[in-house]
Amino acid sequence: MSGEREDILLQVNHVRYKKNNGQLYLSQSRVGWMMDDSDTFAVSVQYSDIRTQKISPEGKPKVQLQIVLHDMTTHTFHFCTPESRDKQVAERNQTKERLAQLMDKRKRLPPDDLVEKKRMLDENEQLCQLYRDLVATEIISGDEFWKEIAVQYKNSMGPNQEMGISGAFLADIKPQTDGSNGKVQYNITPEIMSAVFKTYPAVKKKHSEYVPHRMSEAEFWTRFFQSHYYSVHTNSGSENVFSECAKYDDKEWNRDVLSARNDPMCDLTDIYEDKPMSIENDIRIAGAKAGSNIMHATMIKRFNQQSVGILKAHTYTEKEKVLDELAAQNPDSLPNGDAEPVVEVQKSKKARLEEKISYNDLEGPSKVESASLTINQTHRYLTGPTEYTSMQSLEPQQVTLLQHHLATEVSCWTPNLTDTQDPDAAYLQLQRFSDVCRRGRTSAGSRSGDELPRKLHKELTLVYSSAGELLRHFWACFPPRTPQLQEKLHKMHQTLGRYHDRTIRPFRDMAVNDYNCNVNILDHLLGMINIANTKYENWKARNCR
Amino acid sequence: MILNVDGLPVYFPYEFIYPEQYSYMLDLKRALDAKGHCLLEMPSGTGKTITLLSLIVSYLKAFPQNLSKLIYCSRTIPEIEKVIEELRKLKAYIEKETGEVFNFTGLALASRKHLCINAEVNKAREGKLIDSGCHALTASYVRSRAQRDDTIPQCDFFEKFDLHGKEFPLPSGCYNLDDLREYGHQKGWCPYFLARHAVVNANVVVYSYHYLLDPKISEIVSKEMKRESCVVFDEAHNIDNICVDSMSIHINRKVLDKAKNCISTLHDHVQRIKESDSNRLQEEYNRLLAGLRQASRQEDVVANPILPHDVLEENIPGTIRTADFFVSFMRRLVDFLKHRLTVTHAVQESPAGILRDLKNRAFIERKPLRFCSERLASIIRSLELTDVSDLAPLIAVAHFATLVSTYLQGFLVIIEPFEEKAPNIPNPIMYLRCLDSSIAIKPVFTKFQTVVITSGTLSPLDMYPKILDFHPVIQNSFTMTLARSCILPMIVTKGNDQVAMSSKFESRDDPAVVRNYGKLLVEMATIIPDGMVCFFTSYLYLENVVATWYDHGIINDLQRHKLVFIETQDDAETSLALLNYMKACDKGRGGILLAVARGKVSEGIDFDHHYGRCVIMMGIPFMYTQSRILKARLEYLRSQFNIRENDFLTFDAMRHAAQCVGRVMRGKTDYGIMLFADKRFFRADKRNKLPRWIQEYITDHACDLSTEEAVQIIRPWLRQMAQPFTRDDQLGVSLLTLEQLNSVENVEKVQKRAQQTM
Repeated sequence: MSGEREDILLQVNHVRYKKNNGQLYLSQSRVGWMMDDSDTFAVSVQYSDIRTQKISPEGKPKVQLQIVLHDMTTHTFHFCTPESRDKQVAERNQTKERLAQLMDKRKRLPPDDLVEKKRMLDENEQLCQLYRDLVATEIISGDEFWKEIAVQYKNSMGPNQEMGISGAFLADIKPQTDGSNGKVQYNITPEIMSAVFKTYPAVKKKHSEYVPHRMSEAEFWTRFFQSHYYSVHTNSGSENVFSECAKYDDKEWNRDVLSARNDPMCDLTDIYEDKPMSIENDIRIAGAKAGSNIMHATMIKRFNQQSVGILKAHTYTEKEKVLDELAAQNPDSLPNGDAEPVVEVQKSKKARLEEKISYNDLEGPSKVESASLTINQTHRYLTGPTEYTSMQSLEPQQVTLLQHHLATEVSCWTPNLTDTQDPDAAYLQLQRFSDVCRRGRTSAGSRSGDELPRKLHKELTLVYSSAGELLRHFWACFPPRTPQLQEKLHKMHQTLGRYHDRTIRPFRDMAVNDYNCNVNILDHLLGMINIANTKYENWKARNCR
Repeated sequence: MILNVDGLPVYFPYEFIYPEQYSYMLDLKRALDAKGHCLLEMPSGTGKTITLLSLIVSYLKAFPQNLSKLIYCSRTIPEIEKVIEELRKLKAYIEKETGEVFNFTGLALASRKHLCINAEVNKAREGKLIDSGCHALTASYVRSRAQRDDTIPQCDFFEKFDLHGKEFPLPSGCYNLDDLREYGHQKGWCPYFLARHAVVNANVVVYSYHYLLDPKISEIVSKEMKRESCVVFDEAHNIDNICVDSMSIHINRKVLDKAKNCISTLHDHVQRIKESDSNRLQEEYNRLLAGLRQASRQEDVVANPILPHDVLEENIPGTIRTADFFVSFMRRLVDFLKHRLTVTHAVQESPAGILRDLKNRAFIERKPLRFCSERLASIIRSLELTDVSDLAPLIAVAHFATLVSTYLQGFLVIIEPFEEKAPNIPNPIMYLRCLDSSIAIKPVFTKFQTVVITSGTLSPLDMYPKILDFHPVIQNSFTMTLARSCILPMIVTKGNDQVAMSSKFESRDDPAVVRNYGKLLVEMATIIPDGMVCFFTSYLYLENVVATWYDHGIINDLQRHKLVFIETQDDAETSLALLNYMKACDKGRGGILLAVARGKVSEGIDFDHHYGRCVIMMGIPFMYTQSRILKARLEYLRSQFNIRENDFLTFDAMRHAAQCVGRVMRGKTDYGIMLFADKRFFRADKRNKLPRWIQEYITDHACDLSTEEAVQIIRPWLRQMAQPFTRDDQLGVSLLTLEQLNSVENVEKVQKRAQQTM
C-alpha cells in the first residue's frame, strides 16, 4: 500500500494482468491492481501519469483495457469474468468510463487552478506577502485564504480576461484511423467543443436541438466533422444537418458585410470615384468573379468566416451571446435596432482621420495630455447652481491704474536696512541658531529613536500590512447579522489571536533583542488588536445573553 | 515652425521636420519659381502631403500674383479626405502663428454619390442612379417645365442654391465632403452644385484624378481653372494607366443592343415632338447651323471627349443636322459595329482601317463621325430627355465614333471573341484602346503652369517624362534619413530545401515552390508580432496557392499563430475581412492578411505600425503579358518612345511591388520588414528599379537569403526595434529643429544629399 488510505471508488474482480488473476481498483487519485491472495498493489498508477487509455476492438475474443503512460509504458488489463462475455464488456466499459471521468478531473482542473493562483500571487506583491505571512505560517489554511482574502483582490483586479480561442482549434483535432477496420475516429475535448460553440453559435443551437433527442453526441460530432465546417472541400449543399447552419452563417456574414460598409476607413467598395455614364457592368457578362474557382472561393470565404467568428467569440459579452442564440433560433428574423447611429460614425471618422494624418515624432514634446472630464449627466452640469460672484469687478481703466500704482510703488521702494532690527536682539538670535545647529550635528548618530534600521523597517511594514489586512476582514464582519458572518467573525478572531502569538510577539522580541528597539514600537498595532479583541468580547458577551 | 525655404517663409504645422521634407520643399519651390513641371519621388510615410501643402499654401500666401490656386488630385476618397484634414490643420496653424484670420478656402469635390443630400435621390446608393436622379430633377428644361406645372417634382436644395447660393462665396475654411453636406443642410443648398460652383474661386481644390484627366469630366468641372495654378498628382505612380483608361471605350453586343433600344426611343421622341412641337427641332437645326460652339454653350449634360479647338468652330455637317437623319445615322453606325463584332478570332485594326471599312460598308464619312457625341448631346437637350443614364450605351457608341475618327495615332481597335477571364463564354468585345498616355494628360500640361507628379514609388524616374511626354524642370528622388534602420528590406530567393522561389509562370504551380512560400509565411508568422500582410501576384494565383496550402496543412500552421484573413474579389467582403484584421491586430492576437498586388487593398489601405510589421511580396507582380491590349501598348511604346517591352514590364511590376511594400511605413517611429520573395528580385535589373529609399537599405548580405537565413536576420532586428526610441536619438540625424535647420552647414548637408541624384 502506498500513501494514506483512500476511498475505493470502483472495484472490479476477475481482472487479469500479466496472466495473473486479481482485482482492479479505482480510487480518487490512482488506478491500482492487486493480485489475488496478496495485499499489495502490483500496479499503482497516478491518473496524472496516464496519457491515454485504449480498449480492444469489438470483435476481439479478449476484452481488454490498456492504459498508456506518458513515458509510453503500457499496462493491459484483461477482463475475464466467468459469467458471460457481455458482462465482461459491460465491466470493461464501466471501468473505462469511470477512468475517463477521473482522469479528466485530475488532468485539467488542478494545474489550471494552480497556475491561476500562482499568476495571481506573482502579479500581486502584497497578496503574495499576505500569503507567506498567513498561509505559510499556518495561521489560516490555504483554502480559507483563497476563499476569504484573495477573492477581494480578484474583484479589484477587474473582470478577468477570458481566454481566446486558438485559431487552429479545428486543426488540432487529428482524425485517427482504427488500424484494422478503417473506422475514422475523432478525439475531441470539452475545450474543442466549447471553441466550436463559441465560434459558430449556430452549431451550438443545433447541438441543443439534436442531442440527445435525435442523435447521439458521437453521431452529432461525426456529422460535424463531415460538414463544411471541418473539411472545406465538402460541398455544403448536400443534405446535412449543418446546411441550415451554413445558411445562418451566411446570413450573419452578409449582415457583417453590410455593417463593414459603414466603417469609413476600411470600406473598399467605393474608394474610387466612379466614372459617370459608365457601361462597365454591361461589358462583363461573366461577372466580376469570372475565372475564379468556385470551390476555392468558398474555401476562402470559410477561412474568413472562421477568423471573424473567433474574433467575435472573443468580444461577446454574455448579453450578446443570449441575443445571438435568440437569433440562431429563428434565423429569418432580423434583430431590431441594427441600424447604426450615424452620428457616432461621423464623429469617430473625423477623429480617425486626425489620427491617420498626425506624425508623433514631428509633434512637439510640449503637448500634454489634459485630463478629460466625463460628465454622465450633462444637464446637471449645465443647469447646476451657478457660481456666486460676490467680487465686484473692477473697471478696466481702474485695473490699469492700480497696476500703474503698483509699478511706481515697487520702483520707488528703497529698503532701509539700517534700522529694521535691534542689533543686540539680532546677535542673540544668531547665537541661539548656531548653538542649535551645532548640537544637532553632534547628536545625529544617537538620536535615532524614531528611525529604524532599514531591514527592521521593512519587516515592520510587512507585519503592519498583514495585520491590517486581517483587521480589515475582522471589522468587515460587523454587524454580524448572518450566521456566515458570525462564523467568519469567530474565525477572524482566532486568526488574529494566532497572528499575535506567532508573528507579532516573535517580531517584537526580535526587535527588542536584536535591534535594541523600544518595547513600545508595536504599541499602536497591539492597541488595534486589543480594540478588536474587546469588541469581539463585548459582542460575544452580548450575544450569549 | 516657420522655416525659410529659399527666401520663402513656409508655415509648417509641426515643431520638427524631416530633412527630406526640407529638401522636397526646396525642389518644389524651384519648380514653382520656374513655372515648370516637376517629378518628385519621396519615401512613403514621410509626410509628403503636409510638405506639399505647407509649401504651396505658403507660396500662395506670399506670391498671390504668381500662383493663385492649388489643384490637388488624389486617387481615392479616403485620401482626398485626409488631404483636407491636413489642410485644416495647416490653416489653423497659420492663423495661430500670424494671429489673424487667414482668408482661404479649400474644399474637396466628389461625385453626387458622396455629396447629394436629397433624401429621395440618394437613397439609391449607386452612383449612376444618383446622377440620373439628380439630372431628372435639375436639368434646365425640367425646371422650366416645372415652373409651368406644379406637379413636376424639383430638388429643393438645388432650387435654393440656384436662387441664393451663387452670389455668396463659400466662407473661408476647409470643407471636407462631410462638411459640405453639413453646410448644405444648414443652408438648404445643394452641396454638389455648391462645391462645383466654389471650385472656381477656391484656393485649394482636392478631387480625384478623373476630374482633370478624363476629358469628358474635365470639360465640365475644370474648364474654368486659371493657368496660374499648381496641379499636384499625388500617388501618381499609376498615372499613365489612368490616362490610358480615361480615353478608352469598350463595347460589346449587350451595349449595342441597348444602344439600339435607345435609338428607338430617340426616334419615338423625335416623332412625338414633330407632331406636337415642330418648332423646337427647327430651332435646334438653326442653332447647329450657326455653329457648334454656340450649340455647346448651353449646358453640360453630356460632355464630348476631347476635340481639337478648330473643330468646335466648324459647322455640324449636313448629314446629321436634322434629327431624323441623325437617328438613322446612328442606327447605321450601331449596325455596322454589330456586324464587326461577329468574330471568332481576335482582330486588331487601326482607327484608319475602321474608318475605311465604315465608309465602304456603311457609307459613313469621317467628318460626321467626329461630331457624333456633340450632336447627341444637342439632341438630348432638344428632346428634353430626363433619364440620361439610360442613354449611357448610346453615349458610349457616340464617344467611340468621335474618338475613332479624331485620333488616327495612338489608338487601336481590338475585337476579341471572349472576355479575358472567361474564355468559355462567348462575349465579343470591341476595345477602342488608347495606347498613348500622353494624349489625355497633354491638356493638363499645357494649360497649367506647374504640374507636380509625386509618389512614394516613381523609380525609375526617367520613365515618366517619356511616357507622359513632358519635360520636367526638376526631377528628383529623395532618400530616407534614418536614425535606426527601421526598414528592413530583404530578398528571399530560396526555401530551406534550396529550391528557388519564384512566381515565374513555369514554376509557380510547382508543389515545392508553393510549399516553400507557405513555409516562409509560417516561419514569419511565428516570429513577427502583430500584423502581417502578404501580397500575391494575382487573384487566381492566390486562390490556387491557398487551396494547395490547405491540402498541405500550411493554413492550419498559420492559424496556430495568427488569424488568417484573405482578400476576395468581392469588395464588401474584403472590407469586412480587413476590418477584422485590424481588430485582430488591435487586440494583440495578430493577423495575416493575404491580398493581391494591384488590388484595392494594395492601393487604398495603409498598414502602419502594428497593422503591418511585415509585408511579404510573393513573386513579382507582372501584368498579364498575353493580353492583346497590353501587347499593343508595348508595341506602341517601343515604336514611339523607344522603350523596350521588358523594360516597361519590369518597371510596371516593380512600381507595384514597391507600392505594396511601401504600405508598412508611416513616420520614422514606425518600423517594418519588406520581404521580397522571388529569386528574380535579386537580379540587378529588377533591384535597380526599386525606389532609391528602399534600394539603399538592401544590404548585400540580405539579398540572396533562404527562409532560415531570413529568420536569423529578422530575430535580432525585431529585438532591436523593440527598444525604446526617443526623440533625442533622431534629432540631428533624421529629425531637425528650426535651429538646426538654420545652421548653414546642416542646410548644406541636406542639399548635398538631395543633389546627389540630380
